[in-house]
Amino acid sequence: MSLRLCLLACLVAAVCANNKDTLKATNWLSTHDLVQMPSLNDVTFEQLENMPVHEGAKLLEKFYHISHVKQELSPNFVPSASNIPVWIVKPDGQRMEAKLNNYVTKAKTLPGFGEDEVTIVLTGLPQTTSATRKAIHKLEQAYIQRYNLQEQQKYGQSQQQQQRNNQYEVTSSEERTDEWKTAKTAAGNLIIIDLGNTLTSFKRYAMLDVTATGAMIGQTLVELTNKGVPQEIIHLVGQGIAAHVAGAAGQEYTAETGHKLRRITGLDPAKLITKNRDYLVGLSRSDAEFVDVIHTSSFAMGTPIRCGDVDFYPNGPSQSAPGATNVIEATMRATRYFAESVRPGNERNFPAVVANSLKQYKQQDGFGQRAYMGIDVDYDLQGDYILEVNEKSPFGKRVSAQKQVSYHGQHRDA
Amino acid sequence: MNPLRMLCVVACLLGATLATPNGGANVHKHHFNSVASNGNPSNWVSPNEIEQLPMLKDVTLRRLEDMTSDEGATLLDRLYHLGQFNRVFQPSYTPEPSQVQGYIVGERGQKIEFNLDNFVQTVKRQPNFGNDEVTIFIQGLPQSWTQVQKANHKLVDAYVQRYNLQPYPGQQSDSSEEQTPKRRQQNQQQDDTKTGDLVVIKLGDLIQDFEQYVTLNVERIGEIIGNRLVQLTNEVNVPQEIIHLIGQGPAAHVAGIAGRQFTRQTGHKLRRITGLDAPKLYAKPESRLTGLARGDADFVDAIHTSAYGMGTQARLGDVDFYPNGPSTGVPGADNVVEASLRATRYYAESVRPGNERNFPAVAASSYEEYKQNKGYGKRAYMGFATNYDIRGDYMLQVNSKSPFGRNTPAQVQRGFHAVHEPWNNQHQQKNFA
Repeated sequence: MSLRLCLLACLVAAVCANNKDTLKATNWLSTHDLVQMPSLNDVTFEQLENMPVHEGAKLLEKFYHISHVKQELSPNFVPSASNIPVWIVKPDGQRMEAKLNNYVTKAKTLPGFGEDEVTIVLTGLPQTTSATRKAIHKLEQAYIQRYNLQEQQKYGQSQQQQQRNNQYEVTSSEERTDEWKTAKTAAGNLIIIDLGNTLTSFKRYAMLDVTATGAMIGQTLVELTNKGVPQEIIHLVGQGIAAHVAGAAGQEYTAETGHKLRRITGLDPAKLITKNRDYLVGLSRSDAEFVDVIHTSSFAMGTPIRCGDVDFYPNGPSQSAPGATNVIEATMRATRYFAESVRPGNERNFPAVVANSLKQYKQQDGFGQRAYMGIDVDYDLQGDYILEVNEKSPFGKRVSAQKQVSYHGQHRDA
Repeated sequence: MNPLRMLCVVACLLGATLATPNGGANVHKHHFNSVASNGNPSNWVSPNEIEQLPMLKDVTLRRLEDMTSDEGATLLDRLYHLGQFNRVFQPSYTPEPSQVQGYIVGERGQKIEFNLDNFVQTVKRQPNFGNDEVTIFIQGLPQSWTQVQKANHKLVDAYVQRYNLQPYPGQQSDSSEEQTPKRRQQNQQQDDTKTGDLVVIKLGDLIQDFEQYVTLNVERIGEIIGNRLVQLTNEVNVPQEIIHLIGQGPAAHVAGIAGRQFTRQTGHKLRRITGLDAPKLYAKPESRLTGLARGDADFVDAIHTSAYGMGTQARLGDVDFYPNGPSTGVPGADNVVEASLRATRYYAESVRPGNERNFPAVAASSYEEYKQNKGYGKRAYMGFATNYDIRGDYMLQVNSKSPFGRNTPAQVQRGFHAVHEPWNNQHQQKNFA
């Protein structure tokens, strides 16, 4: 009897599903599609790394939109402060290990800490995938080079060799350039908060409570500035989902002190699969005095939503970045581009122009100011910028952005 | 698991929920917090819920008006999200410029009509156009619906009053927001030259049903209007720094794009663009950024009154106001359409001389934060007199009837200096270990 009911129900479902009207929701997402979808528990980062980009992108888009249909799925994972590893990178390139609940104290023991710039990187994925490992490494190395350039320039090539982590060979040509020899020097400290390390599963990643986690980190920043590090020298760099955590940290900091951090950079802020409906969540303009964002997988792990005062879309808003073969690589490209710009001499590797799409950019329809994506972006900018990038390192095209349409021809002289 | 068996299980669920239409939703809700099932997308939305979604052309404004705010919001949320990943909605509806009607309000309060084709020529014939402020109100919903007509009328009327576009004493006041202090009226009688120009573009009249609402080609219309503005500044010598575009509903995105188009052509930015409950963008052009955004003008402000209904909770401007916090509606609004129109009503109230500070708001990320006095940062006044320096997200309380602004100081803010000094005490209270 129940089997008959089953079959009858099947028929009903089948009949309804066969409605050819494209304006009917069942043609957008079939029962089959829905049932076929893996559970959050079953997806792994390794799987995502091994899927072709368009497949991974489609899966993520589905999770995102289906989860938001009723938005009843609330984020509930907050890593504990004693579990989040933090590396304080010393001038010689060696790491001092700490945890979120003690890194401020430890950092202050370093001579000269907090006298120039303090860059705090929040990682957004676990380093179990090679793309993530490589990207974070490149960023770290770039900052080491940037902050120790004076030393390097003094002692030349040999010093640079010593400071390189010997496990990794020079694998990208961005490191072979000679610009560093005569480049401008900058001094500072690098701290890496390895939040990604605690995201041991895709489910945890999807269920991360960015607001609570950010508040926790924001409190440590209050501690940092209360111990004498001025907030104007703090630059938070958040990768993937940690871009939103960085935004929340900035907000918490401002709530406690009334001051804003100087700058937050979002490296391909993630789509937020779970969200608390009553709160505004996610990195956004005004989380710091200046917020800049690089989007490299708007229609995959990343989001196309503008998150900053200025948003860069290399290759226009798209599923992936040139040369990236899976969604993890695509989201990590933002880190790679930013890292390249951090290397002394490379600050102008990524010229961009105001535009809404790659097509517009190519048609030389870009208008407005030129901007350089990356470390040296102009803090006065506002708007959306498009640029082209290479498939392999060096990623920046370095040539001038397409010549802008001259608008003085259109505008009548006053 | 045997696929046929799987299908049967699903079909049984379908069968069971068909028998009890609302029971199905409750059954799924019950399972939500259980660890095993809440990671499974087929528990987030059931096949039955998808089945029950009406066809797009059956979703009329009338129908949305008959549902409660929550029901309407749920329906729209589903239509929006389920339609996204297969790119079901295309921005295919592009009304002809000649079809888009509008009018300029003349010095005696009369309506001088135009359409988008002859807009600039019509303006040219107006004496003294563009001497002070130029406000262009682009309507986004059809006036055939009474609530829309009322809201639009309030906004137009408020500007007519502010700009002295009618001899004093003037109009009928049927809402208490329009009672201005007597002293103010006397002053205005002495000075009856107009202080601004109001232009109304009735784009909303061409959006007759929900399908047109979601498939409106905001890019194309925005470009056309942007081009007209370029002409306006070139041929009629109207400086762009006095132009304020106000877009209602989908017209908010149109306004943003018009601003971008203007900048593309001239290198300058319009002064201000205000979005009145801009909707989610159901139909988006492929691989292209679209919709209202910060940077479209020198200053962009947005008011969200139905973030989870017809509107969007996404931040669009330099500053975004969320009366009642991000929710399906606002107090006193019975359905999603009314809620969406409240943005127009609040803004209109603030335009009336004397009402500029009716809507004090405080920076916060949620309504709860605002109420618990956890809002921080500067105070801002939502509406006409918003300070162009503010940035961020703001929350505020509103009344369910006119006058909508509470007209009292925003909840007392947590003093910074009180917090900053004894930070130690505050810090030790929090324990994140």
